[in-house]
Amino acid sequence: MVEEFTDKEFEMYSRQIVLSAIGYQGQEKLKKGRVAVVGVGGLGSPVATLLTAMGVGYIRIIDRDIVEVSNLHRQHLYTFKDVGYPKVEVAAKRLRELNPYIEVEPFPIFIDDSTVLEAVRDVDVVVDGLDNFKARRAVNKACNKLSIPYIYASAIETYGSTTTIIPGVGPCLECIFPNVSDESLPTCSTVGVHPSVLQIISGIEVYEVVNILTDKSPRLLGKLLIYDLRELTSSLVDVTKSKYCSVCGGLGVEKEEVRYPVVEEVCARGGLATFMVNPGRIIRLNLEELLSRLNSPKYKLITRSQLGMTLQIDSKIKFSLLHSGIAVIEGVESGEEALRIYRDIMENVIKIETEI
Amino acid sequence: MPKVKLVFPSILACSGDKVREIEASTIRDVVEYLCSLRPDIKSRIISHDGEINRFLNFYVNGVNAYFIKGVETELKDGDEVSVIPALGGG
Repeated sequence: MVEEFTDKEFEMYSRQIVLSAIGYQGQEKLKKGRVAVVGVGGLGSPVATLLTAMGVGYIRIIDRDIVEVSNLHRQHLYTFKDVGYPKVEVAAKRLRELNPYIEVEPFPIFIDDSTVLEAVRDVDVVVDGLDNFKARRAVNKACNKLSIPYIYASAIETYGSTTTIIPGVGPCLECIFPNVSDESLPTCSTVGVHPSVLQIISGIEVYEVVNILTDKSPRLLGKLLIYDLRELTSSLVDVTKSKYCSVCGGLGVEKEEVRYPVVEEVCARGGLATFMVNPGRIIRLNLEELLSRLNSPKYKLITRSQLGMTLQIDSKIKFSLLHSGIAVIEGVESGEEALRIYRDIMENVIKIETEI
Repeated sequence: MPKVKLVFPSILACSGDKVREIEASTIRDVVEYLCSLRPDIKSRIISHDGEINRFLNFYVNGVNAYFIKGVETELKDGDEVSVIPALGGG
């Protein structure tokens, strides 16, 4: 049973309520809707902003990253003062300010086979804000297993593509792009991305989410849209389900497991290598309790936020820990050193088995 | 050789028509045509071991050739072949 809209909500959504494509009943359905936005970067930021402003009742935002200066030209949920903080924490705060009548839940986690089922559970639609195929393949498998519609999208340079996946009805991502590896694809950090193409593709994703939540037919079921900003043209390609698909084909083809490495280099900041450590599962740490145990002069607390904290370890190493167990370690020489520090802090100071 | 309709997005077209009629017996012929059209990105179309890079997908009348016979998928007169590159970022 949907609660009545308050006067403020009614006013806020008035242009959608008079819009024939949504209407009052549609608005009620949006309020009942539950959506997971996986990745709140270039595509996920505008997607989450639109869904929030439009009044989708529950929005889960999932991302492992922290805000970097190079994000700010296209990821407008963040500003200079947010640099260094977990994206989902900053995004949740901003989205709640934008619309206090909805629920926003931040998940600061890696998306792979070890976490994805929990990440997308109990939502009506999953929306793609990811930047790599590895995580998309994990999301595609989970949505297929749990029968959750998944709006796929990607964008690079001046191009974007998107489609709507309804498990059991149309093709899944693996039917459309079988066996794609990220190694064969350029990334936004190497070839760039035009912010305008992100706005266009994310707008179409949200249109499809709204179609699904309001019980209308999604327009991109079985169709892949490719948009080219330079020529202002779009192509719609028919895509079909394959019985040989390793995810949804049902022929028992072996499915490759999607797992992130335990430790990976994410970028170099100020000439110092930075590594991210993946706990391989979702841990829920009590940061207040942890802080009380970190009374050694060896660790100096630099920043403390709702979902994480950053410690200075000697003069050059910074250790940022999110409550989900992910750590970002700056200023170390190698992945092995990053992992050694992670294990030392987790097992000897925080007293938690790392399992990695 | 069968005449097929080749549809490719502007990402690969560079300039000129995005729909062309070409002669091709198999997807391999289509790949060779693409390489001749865009020699600058041949190394991205075909990997160093001679295989087609997995980011390129060839749809024959709406069915991904990966699930038919890959590059050996046979073509016949009037077939429509769409070239769809996977895009990675976001």
